[in-house]
Amino acid sequence: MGREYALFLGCLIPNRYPGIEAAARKVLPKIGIGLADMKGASCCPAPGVVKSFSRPAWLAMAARNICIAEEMGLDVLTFCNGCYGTLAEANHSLRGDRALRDLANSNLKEIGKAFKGSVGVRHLAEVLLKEVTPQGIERAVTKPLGLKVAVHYGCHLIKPRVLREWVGSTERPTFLDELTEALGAESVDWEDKMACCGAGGGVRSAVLDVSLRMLNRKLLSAKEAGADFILNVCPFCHLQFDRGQVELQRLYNLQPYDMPVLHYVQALGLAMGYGPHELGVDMNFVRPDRILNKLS
Amino acid sequence: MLPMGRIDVMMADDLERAFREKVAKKFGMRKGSMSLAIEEAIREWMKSEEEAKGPEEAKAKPPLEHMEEVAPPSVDFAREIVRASGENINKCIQCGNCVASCPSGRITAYNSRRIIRKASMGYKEEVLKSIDLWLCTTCYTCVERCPRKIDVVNAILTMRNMAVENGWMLEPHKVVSTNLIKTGHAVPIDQATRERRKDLGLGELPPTVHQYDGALFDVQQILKETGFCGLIERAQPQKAASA
Repeated sequence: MGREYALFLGCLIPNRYPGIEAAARKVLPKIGIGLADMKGASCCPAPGVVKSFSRPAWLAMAARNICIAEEMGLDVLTFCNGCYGTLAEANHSLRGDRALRDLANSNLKEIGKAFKGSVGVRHLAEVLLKEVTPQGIERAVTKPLGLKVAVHYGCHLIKPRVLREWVGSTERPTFLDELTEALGAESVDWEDKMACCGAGGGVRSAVLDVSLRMLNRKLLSAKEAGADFILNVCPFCHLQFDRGQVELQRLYNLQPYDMPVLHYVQALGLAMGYGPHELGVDMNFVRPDRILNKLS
Repeated sequence: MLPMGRIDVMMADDLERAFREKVAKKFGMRKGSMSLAIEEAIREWMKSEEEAKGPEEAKAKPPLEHMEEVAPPSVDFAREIVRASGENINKCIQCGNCVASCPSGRITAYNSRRIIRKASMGYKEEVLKSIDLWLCTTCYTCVERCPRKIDVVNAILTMRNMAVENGWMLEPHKVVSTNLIKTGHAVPIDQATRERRKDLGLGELPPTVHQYDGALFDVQQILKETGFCGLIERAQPQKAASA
C-alpha cells in the first residue's frame, strides 16, 4: 500500500516554518505517503501577489513547477493552501485551454520544458481524507491529543469549488474536523471558524493593519470557544496566526492571546508520539508550553 | 429655429396695462412685441438672480459634470475587463451579497459591489488607482455566493493586472516581486531559518531553486520572457496607505 508523491515545498514551509517540513518528512511516510523531492522547484508562484500582477508570468512559472512533477511521473502533493490554489488552477487551465497551454509552452521552450498535463495536483488534506482516511489516522495515533482544537480550513483549500469536488460543502465543510478528531482531539465550534485569516491576496504584505484586524476577530473567537490551539493546513495561515499575535501585541498593545498554532502534520506527529522539538513545534513565535504541559 | 416655449401668466390689471403701453411704445403694436419684451424681462431677472448668489455657489458645478471632470468614463475599460477576465461584470444586479460576505469589507469601507459598478460604468482611473482594489484577500466567499455566478475575484485580479500594467503598484508588492526575480522565491530563506533547518536535521537549504543555480536561471528566464521583470521595473511604487 501507500503511494509516492512529488513533494512541493513552496516558500513559507522551507524558508520560514521548516518544522512543518521536518514533521511531514518524518510522519507522512509512516502512514503510507511517500515523498520525493521536486528538485529545483520555485515559488508556486503566490496567487495573491504574482497572479495579481501578471497572469502570464504566474501561469508560466506554475507550468514549470508542474513539469518537474511530470518528469518524475508523480502527482504533486502540497500542504500549503496558496500553492494548492495556484498549482491546481494552473494545471486545470493548462489542460483545458489549448491557447493558454501554447502560450505557456512557448515561454517554457527556451528552458527545454513543455507542459503535458500528465499529473494531478493534490492537497495533503485530500490525500489524508481519501487515501489514508480518518480511520487509518486513528490507527496510527499512539498518544491521543485530548485537547480542544479550533480548526481553520483556510480559503484556498476549499474555494472556489469548481476544481475541488472532494471538498463537499464550501460553507460548512467537515472533513478537516473529522481528520482532527481522529487525533483524539475535540474540534470546537467557534464563531469565526470559516472566516479568512486575513493574510491572502497581498493584503498582509501591503496593508498589514487591515490584515491584522481580520486576524484579531478570529483569535478572539477561538479564545472564547476555549480552544487549546489553532490547527491549520497552510503555512501562510500558520504564519498569520503565529507571527500575527506578536504583531497585534506590538501595534495595538493588546493582551497576548497566548494561542499556540500547529500545522496538521505537527499535530499528527505529536499524536504519533514524536517530540515537539523534532516537529519544530517550539520554533513558533507563540510558545506551545500550554498544550505541551497538558499533553504530558 | 422658431422659439416654441410658452408660458401663460396671470398678473395684476394695473401692471398688465402699464406693461402693454410700454411695449407698444418701444416695439410698436405688432404681433410678437409682447413676447420679445417678456423674454428680455425674464433674461434680466435670471441674470440678477445668478449675480445675487455668493461666489462659492456660483462656482459649484452640477453633479454630473463634476464627476466627468474627475474621471471620464470609458466603455472600453468595462469591455476590456470582460475580455481579459472572461467575467461578464455587466450581469451584476448590485444585490450586495459580495459585500455582506466580505471579511475585508467587514472591517473597512471596502465595497466589492461598488468596484464592480464603477468598473462596468467605465471609471477606469478611479478603480485602478484606488487602494480598495488591493483590500481583497481573494477568499472567494463572494464568488461562492454570487447569485449571478460572477467570479468577482477573477474580475478583481484582472483589474489588478491592469493597474500594474499602468505602473500602479504598492511598494511592498514591488519588494515581494523583486525577491521573486532575484531568488525564485517570493519569500526567500533567511539566516535564522538556515539555523533552524540544521537543528531539525534538514539540509541548510531546501532542494528548491535555493539549491540549484541552473533552476534559478530557468525561472529568471521565464520571468524575463513573460515580461514580468520589465513590468516590475517600470512600476512606480505607491506608498501603502492604511485603509
